[in-house]
Amino acid sequence: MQAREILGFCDVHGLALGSHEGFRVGSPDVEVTGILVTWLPCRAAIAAAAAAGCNLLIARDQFNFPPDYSGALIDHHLSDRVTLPRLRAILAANITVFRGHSSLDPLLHAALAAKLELPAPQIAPGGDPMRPLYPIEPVPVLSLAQRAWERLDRGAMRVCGDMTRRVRRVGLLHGNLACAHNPDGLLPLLERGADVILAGELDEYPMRGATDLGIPVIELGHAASLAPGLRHLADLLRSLFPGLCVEYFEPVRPWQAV
Amino acid sequence: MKIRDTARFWEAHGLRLGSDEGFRCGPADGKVRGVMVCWKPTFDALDAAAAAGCNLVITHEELNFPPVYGGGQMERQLTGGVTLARIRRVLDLGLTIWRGHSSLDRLCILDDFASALGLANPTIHGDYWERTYDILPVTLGELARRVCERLGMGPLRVAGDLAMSVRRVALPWGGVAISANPHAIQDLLRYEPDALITGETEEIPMLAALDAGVGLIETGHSESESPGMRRFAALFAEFFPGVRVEFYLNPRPWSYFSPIAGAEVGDAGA
Repeated sequence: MQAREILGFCDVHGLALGSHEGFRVGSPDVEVTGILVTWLPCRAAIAAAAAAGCNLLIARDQFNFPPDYSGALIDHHLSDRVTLPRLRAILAANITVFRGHSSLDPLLHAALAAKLELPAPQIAPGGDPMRPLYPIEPVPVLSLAQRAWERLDRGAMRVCGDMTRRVRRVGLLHGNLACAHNPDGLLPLLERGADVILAGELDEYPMRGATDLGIPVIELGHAASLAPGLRHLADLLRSLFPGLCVEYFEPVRPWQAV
Repeated sequence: MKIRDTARFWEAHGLRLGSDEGFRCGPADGKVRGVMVCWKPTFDALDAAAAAGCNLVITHEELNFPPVYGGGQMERQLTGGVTLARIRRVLDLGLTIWRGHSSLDRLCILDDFASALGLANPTIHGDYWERTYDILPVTLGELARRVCERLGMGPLRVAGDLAMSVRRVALPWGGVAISANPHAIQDLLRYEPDALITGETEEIPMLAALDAGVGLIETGHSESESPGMRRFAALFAEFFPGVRVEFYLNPRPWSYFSPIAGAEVGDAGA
């Protein structure tokens, strides 16, 4: 199988690739020895792909830093201490990198919701399917945090707002969709009546915005929130390409509380 | 003092106001009854200003959410949500909001973050913020504990090997280390710090620091800028003697949840 045949997966699942998706480094014509699925092609993920004999790395996010959504261009950062070593490692291991990002959002969102045992979502008529509300039996925010902690990676989580408040309408955002640089991330959920937000990652601006509206927030972790979906993606690839080695590299939470 | 006279402080200090600074909401005319300086005009800060009898709020951060730097447009935020609620509160309380941002970064915010950390005598490599501080060797873990102690904060988020030795640090304060900022971390890494002591950051910049072999200690957006805003309040009071100037400390908005880390919800804030 050639790397470019991975596009068959997109056809099967009806995924339309955006301009920020597709092959990012390496030849699409290479004969695939194995696939490694991960969140971000950091050096640990690249090393894991090389060690597992996988020469196709499928990642949700970019190997380059700063990321494109900041306005940074790769060509300004090929002498830097982050992008250059990553690129060097990718090339040294003859790895081809394919990025699947927003086309994977429905899969990632649904897998996270399933992992958290949320019920069927409610989507507003004509509303964004990626901004549904999940109606639940009223529970204190604290027990939702407990459930998330148990169901995800059991790392320390950040929370804000009143943890004793009983909530019944969950807004869910994976990855960094709740960060302030995504202006259409959190606000639509706040305006639609979510009374608690479960978010991958968010910064202080959205935390304080939610707090001013009296809405508690549980931060699951960027990597942790994507893990169920990426693991599912690896399973789907195994089904579609039986006989091919498909590995999943679980990114660890990059921080600890000290 | 008239509300409009606020600009005189900037003029006297040779500070040019950027397009993100100046009056943001509320009347520019009238007399100042009292000034509340804070990091951000959240509900708690606005209420504190009113309770203290202040009608002028000087703030470092934006009133609106989503913020302008994230692509948010006020034109799309006036039908509900956070921005409208805050504006309503400002007007109901009879307040005026003045924002001092990048000019205050240059005047005191970064300097006072460093001072609060006990750092002095930076090497300035380019622009005022492109600076590093050489320190006596210390492990990343010990440095993090010192930062906690100096800032009076609970546990911090730290990325990197806690046993690594740190001799040089750089300070991407405030929101400089978030991933939407295209150049700051990269520019600072050129000066070969062993660790970054940041304002707030995210997992993508943390992974970048790890891949560059650099430790990272996150303090917080408000925590890193509030020392400077506190000093600005003192400078402003000195400049306008007779005007009452108060300072409101915006508390860190989050706490940790970890069932195995002791208390189920531990307040990590100041």
